[in-house]
Amino acid sequence: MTQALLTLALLPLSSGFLAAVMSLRDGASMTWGLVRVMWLAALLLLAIVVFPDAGKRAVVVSLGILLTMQCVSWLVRQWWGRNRLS
Amino acid sequence: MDWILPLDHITLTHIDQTGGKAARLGALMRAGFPVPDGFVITADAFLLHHPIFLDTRPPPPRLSPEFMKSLADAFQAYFAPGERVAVRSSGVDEDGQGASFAGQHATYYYIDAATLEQAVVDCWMSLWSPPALAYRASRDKPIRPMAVIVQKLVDARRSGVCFSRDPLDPRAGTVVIEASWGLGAALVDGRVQPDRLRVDDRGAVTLLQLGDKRERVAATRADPSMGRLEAVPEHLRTARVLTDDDAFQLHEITEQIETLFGEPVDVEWAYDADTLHILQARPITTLTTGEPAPVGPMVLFKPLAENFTEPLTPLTVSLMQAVIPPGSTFVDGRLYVGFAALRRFMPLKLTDAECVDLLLLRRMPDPMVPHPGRLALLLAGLGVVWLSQGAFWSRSARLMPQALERFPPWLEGVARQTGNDPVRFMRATMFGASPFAPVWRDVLALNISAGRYFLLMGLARQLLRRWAPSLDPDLLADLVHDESDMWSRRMLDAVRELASLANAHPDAQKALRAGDCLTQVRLLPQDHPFVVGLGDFLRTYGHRGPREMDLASPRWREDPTPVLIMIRNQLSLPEAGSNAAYAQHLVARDKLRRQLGNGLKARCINRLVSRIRYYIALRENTRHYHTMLFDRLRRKLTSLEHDLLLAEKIKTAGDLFFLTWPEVRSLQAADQPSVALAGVIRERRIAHQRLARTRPPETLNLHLAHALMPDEDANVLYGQRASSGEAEGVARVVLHPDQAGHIQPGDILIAPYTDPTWTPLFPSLAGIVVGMGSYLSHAGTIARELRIPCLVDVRDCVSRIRDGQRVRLCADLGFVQLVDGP
Repeated sequence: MTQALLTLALLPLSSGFLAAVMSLRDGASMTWGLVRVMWLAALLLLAIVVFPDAGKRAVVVSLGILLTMQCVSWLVRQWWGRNRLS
Repeated sequence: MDWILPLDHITLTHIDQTGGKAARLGALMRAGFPVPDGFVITADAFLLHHPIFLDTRPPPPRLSPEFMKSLADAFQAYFAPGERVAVRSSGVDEDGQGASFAGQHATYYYIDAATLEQAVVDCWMSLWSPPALAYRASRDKPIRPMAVIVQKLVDARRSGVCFSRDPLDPRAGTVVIEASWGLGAALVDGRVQPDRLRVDDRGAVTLLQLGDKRERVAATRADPSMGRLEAVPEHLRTARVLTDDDAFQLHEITEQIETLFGEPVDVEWAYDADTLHILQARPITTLTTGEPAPVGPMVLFKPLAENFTEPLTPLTVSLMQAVIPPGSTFVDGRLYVGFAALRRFMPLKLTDAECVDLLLLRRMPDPMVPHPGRLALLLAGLGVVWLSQGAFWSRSARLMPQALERFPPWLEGVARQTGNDPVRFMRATMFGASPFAPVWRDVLALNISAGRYFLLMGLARQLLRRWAPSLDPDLLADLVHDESDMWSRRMLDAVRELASLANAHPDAQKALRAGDCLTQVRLLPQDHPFVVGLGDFLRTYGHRGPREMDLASPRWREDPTPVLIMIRNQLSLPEAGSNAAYAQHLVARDKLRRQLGNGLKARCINRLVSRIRYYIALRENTRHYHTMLFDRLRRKLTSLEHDLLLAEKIKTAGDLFFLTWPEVRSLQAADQPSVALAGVIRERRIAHQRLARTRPPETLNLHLAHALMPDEDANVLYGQRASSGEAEGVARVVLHPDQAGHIQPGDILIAPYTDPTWTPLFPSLAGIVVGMGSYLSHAGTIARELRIPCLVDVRDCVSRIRDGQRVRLCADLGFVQLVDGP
């Protein structure tokens, strides 16, 4: 239960972290981008420090869910487009 | 056995001998209608030369000497020596219900005594032409004999078709007239976009839509070696073909013809200098586009429909199917979204009508009653969307404006890599960038994500009402005014600069004011400052143009005429003065500061305002870039079309866009032209031209319990506020930016729709009223930026408001009033 709640609570933070990492290629200021990445990474590490076992798993699971969802949605879009043009 | 019958001897009982077209013409002539004189070569003459019917094309027959003599005698009896005639087919199964055979068989113009025999033989042989055979095969019709009409050629200056009932809305009780320059062949073939007039039962014009009539078939040919199509002089392209009196005359005569035949008819007509001639009358056949009927209730997708009134061409639809999300579909070239699925996610208790209003971005329901079950479903749906798209939206919220400048070179590279393959190009650019790619590569998704400013505006308005009730909520429009660089604003400035340049050079000014301005500008020296400036403009904005989403629509780099018209419209306008909008923005900020101070509430509002400004700019700027995608795709398709033209697999430029993508692929793979596709292109062109003249239905398969709009009185037209304010002035009904020469500063523009071509007209206006659109549409965005009151989605505004009439526009209350009555 704690694990699930912690994962849910960490989802927005993980999403922000992923977005910050990915946005390093978006043309924004690299310095501020890195500061943002490190700041969000520190918050995630804090969660791991506060909840040593559940926190580590929650961070990995939340990042995994987000990455999987993003990749799946991208693949579905590609499949949908190809399917309709074939 | 009669080989030749005079037209005025023919009645409907002769149909097996003379064909439907000639029989009806004869009946019309006998009833006193102005039909050009002539005679008919009957089906007996055909049978004399084709005693055995074949399904495959026989060799052309040798005419019998007796028949040749009869033909020569008839020509001599009916026409003066050297007179030109039209030779027209009249198959015995033509013009029947369900199969008109319109344009399937040959018609020859400019025929004289010397070429008559060959024209008659060619007319007969057109029975076995590939398109005619394909048409018959598709309707399971066997080959039947053909009569031929030989008729005086009308020196047609204007011509067209008049429908005694609107083919798309037969119950409306209105007569619909399509009119174009020259002979009617270009119109019937769907090659020109004609003027379209709707005439009520009293004969008054209730709707006038001017078409862009680029080509015409001249009644006389200076050079017989040239084709029959010729370019229409520039000053006539969007000029009105018919006066109100002409429309009344056509209305009267069409009603009489319907009474004569006892069924709805379409009538082909032509005017020479000033006399009306009736060329044909036939039963109205059903108009279809061949698309399957949509299943379930659907609602028009307003953000796309408001940018242009014409439907997308079949090739655009076919390719864009791959980009639109599940549940949405194209119907008659317009995008519709599934109503049932969207309704399931509406977290409010709504009637169908209220839900439709909301989906059409028309108005919010009042009162708003939450629906707990749907709210849960919406939250679950949003959760899934957030998991998959949240990072993208978060990245798009922090995108630096300069980042988008990397898009054009990247696009250039992709265009090179994907060669001549439009689908590979689409896969790389339109199906969504990988989550790890820079966010600016997905400009289409960025553009959609920027639409969130609409929700933030609603939130900011609510907060202002609560925290500063004494402030006008419309203060928000002033607060979000943005002086930062937006591409639309830059383009407007560039047009103004070009107008200033032209004003400083009389030769450029003269060229712009000429009827054929493009030709005249091309005659200026290459190093002329105006020509150099125009070149720079086209290098930056040449990928834009009218109907940007439609791949068939030429861009400004291909046809800069609309740009020259924009510049011409600016010539007589005063130079832009002080920036009143920015001053109002500063006043609004001051008012907010005085009301809320510098506390948390003020910071909250300021933060919201800053975000709204960012998203408005992002939406406008991404539009500048995503139109590059469509331009690139169009370049690939035109290159592909060029190859098909060289291989003679299609006949004329533009045909490709009336095929679907699978059809294009099959044509590429085929060794020879497809007989069936030639007929398909023609039918789709005609259907497209007719659909282009109709306002798309806002809902399909949905029967709403009550009217969506308030009851309108004759003096008031209702719409949706897109930019607040009030104005009173002279209404200027402009159907195309080309016709805006008479606009004076302080006038109120009445337009059917707007796109970037209209933008340069806006600064001098006191108000804008648009037939289509929503708060997010182009007109609204620019009007808010310029602080001009703007009302959108005003149904039939161009037909109900007369040019020159005085009107009062109350955008805040959502209406425009005819000050002196209708």
